[in-house]
Amino acid sequence: MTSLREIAVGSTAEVELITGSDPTSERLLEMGITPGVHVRVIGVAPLGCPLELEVRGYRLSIRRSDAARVAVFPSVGPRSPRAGSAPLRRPLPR
Amino acid sequence: MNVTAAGAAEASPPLMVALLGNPNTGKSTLFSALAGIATRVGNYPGVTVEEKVGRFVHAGRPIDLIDLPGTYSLSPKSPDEKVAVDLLRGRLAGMPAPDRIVIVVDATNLERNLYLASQAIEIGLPTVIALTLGDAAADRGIAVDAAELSRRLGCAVVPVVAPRRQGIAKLADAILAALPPRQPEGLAAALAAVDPAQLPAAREAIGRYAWIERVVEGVVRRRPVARSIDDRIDAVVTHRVWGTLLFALTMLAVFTSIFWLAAPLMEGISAGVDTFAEVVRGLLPEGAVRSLVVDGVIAGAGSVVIFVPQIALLFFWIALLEGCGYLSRAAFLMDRLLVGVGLSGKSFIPLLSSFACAIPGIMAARTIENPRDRLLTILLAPLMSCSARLPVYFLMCGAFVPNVPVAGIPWLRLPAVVLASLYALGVVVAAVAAFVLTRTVFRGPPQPFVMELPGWRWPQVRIVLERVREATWSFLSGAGTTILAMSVVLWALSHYPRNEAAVEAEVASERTSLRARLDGEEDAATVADLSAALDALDTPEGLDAARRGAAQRQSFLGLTGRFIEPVVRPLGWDWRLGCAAIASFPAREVVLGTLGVIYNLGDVDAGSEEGGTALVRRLRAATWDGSRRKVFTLPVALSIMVFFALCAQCASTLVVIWRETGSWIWPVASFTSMTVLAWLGAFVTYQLGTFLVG
Repeated sequence: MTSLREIAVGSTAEVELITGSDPTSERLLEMGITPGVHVRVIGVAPLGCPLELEVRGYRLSIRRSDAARVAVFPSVGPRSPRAGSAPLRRPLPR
Repeated sequence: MNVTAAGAAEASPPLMVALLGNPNTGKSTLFSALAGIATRVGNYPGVTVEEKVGRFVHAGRPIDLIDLPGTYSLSPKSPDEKVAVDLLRGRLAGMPAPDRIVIVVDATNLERNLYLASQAIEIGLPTVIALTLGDAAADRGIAVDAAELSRRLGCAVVPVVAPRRQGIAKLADAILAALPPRQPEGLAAALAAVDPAQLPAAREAIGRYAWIERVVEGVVRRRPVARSIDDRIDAVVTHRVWGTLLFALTMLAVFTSIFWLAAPLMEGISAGVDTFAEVVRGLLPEGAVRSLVVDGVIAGAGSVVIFVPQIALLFFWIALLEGCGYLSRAAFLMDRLLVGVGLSGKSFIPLLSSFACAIPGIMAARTIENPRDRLLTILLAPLMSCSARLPVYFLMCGAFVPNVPVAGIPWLRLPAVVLASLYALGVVVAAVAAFVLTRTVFRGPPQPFVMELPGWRWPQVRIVLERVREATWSFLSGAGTTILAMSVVLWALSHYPRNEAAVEAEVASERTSLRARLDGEEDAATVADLSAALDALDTPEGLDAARRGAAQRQSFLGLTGRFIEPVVRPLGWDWRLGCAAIASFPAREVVLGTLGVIYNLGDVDAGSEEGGTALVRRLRAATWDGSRRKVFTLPVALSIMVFFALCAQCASTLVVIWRETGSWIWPVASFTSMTVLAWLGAFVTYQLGTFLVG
């Protein structure tokens, strides 16, 4: 399983699922990181953590440890034109 | 425009309107565009979440606009969010459910904003959506079809450009006309369609976002932009080299302005208060009333107002950085540094500002949403060496730390090393304290750190000024009044009991003891010091200073100093130092002045060259009662500095901790633990120093 923390800076990945059910996982979902959405890793803070992401057309920052709970499908390319806009229509994974 | 100020005819009861929205959506700009300046600012009952209400009149109907804390969803993760949710559902004690909801929706970030909006619409109260930041959206090539959005959501959608007041009257009309929304088309179906194998929280998010994606399809049109402005700015701001450099420069600017720019303003206030005090002193007959008014009330009010420049400047910067979007980038850059001790990047600016003064630093912790991190930051802030400790460090380092090179490096002088170590001491102790506290008292499930990095935009002058005004006013009216009351109490403790005969007796015994020490003293410098002190007793000023010193030593505070002598003895202190430490409680910066009074110099300005020299000479000459042993040696000076680096001898800080946490437990805990730490630190320093130096 690939997680968001392994995605290279500049790449976009499609979210498979969020593991865990604590407030952090819940907040990630509420912020729009839901299965099927495209997330682009924009950068990493100079000290190596946290990550800067783009999802649904806005930016947010999460820690590497929290990025590990976001399972993603392998990278869909360095610069997807659809990143942050409409997600792919694909059946929801279990 | 028929939006008028409060105070017009108010026949009907005011309409209660709740302003709801995600953070960073221009909610406060919209609040001030609708209601002007808040007419009521306070706390919600039982919590320290700020309640802000503004009254305005539209079309003859008075409206109370309640600015709810920014929230991302209606399943709250923090006390701020819980207040918003409870109020909307009418579950907040003493507050009825609102009559209307205005949901602020950011046009640049429609999908995520509609998450909260869809939950709020489901409550069923008459709802209006204010579509903000349409101008910023246009810059990013985003166009939102408000009419179509309104049709799909089942409630009115009014585009507004709050800074230019566009659409504000229309929004007010829509608020009055609002009807309960019909349930949004397809939402229930979308929620029901989610795979039941998903966890409940995930089901809610997946279903809602699936519905939102359908809502925005055709409502939002994106014109492709080559590379967004945000992209280009972020590439620099979060860059390893340029971002770090820019951050360092920004923090330098923030710190310089509260550390140095505030200084002339504070001196001006201080001079103004002094002049006023002198005028009043001239108007009142000598006696207890004059002393109460001048030394108690006016000096106390002065010690409150003196903090205003630093608070105002810091909040100016915070509002500016928050307004343009840099505040969260700063937290982003610094997060890693603070994660290790259990905090987040958001604590950086509050802790940094505490090096100037803990009071604005503690207030700046308001920008931390996470309650645990906020409390911890508040408790750690007083450990940062503030500018009020600097005069103590300077005096002690200058007078008692030998100016010798360290490790054979000619430019590395011992006093500078000691000074740097004192700053480091505070930081290290704070880091250890944070590490321990997050694993004991503040242990709990990890708090989500999912921080939005809002789009870059120009800060609004009005919002920045309003923020400064709000912070200053909340300090003056909240903490200020308590600090003033405390100053009066402390004045009384340092002025009573007044026993003239005992004072005269002490001055006389002082004279005898000086004569006795002069007899048989051989060291020329000491002879000069002793005879100067003896001669001073024969001048009117010197006698007055001696009387004041005796009176202070015999006051309740002074008596406490004597009483605690056994406690401060292991630190190498005599009872006079104990007195000075206790008497500096009203504010650390008075400790040198207190030392001056206790050592019979009267009011010395220890900051001035001659005042400082006089104080240093007096301190150097000081001996233990009934002996020739000097009080101030290198280990004692170090022990004093370590004590002041770690102690919480600052009543104003403790009052502000009380105000900001809403509980007396925290200032009491803070005072107790810091005093114990300071004592232990000073004890180890003195004992180790004596052992090494002899």
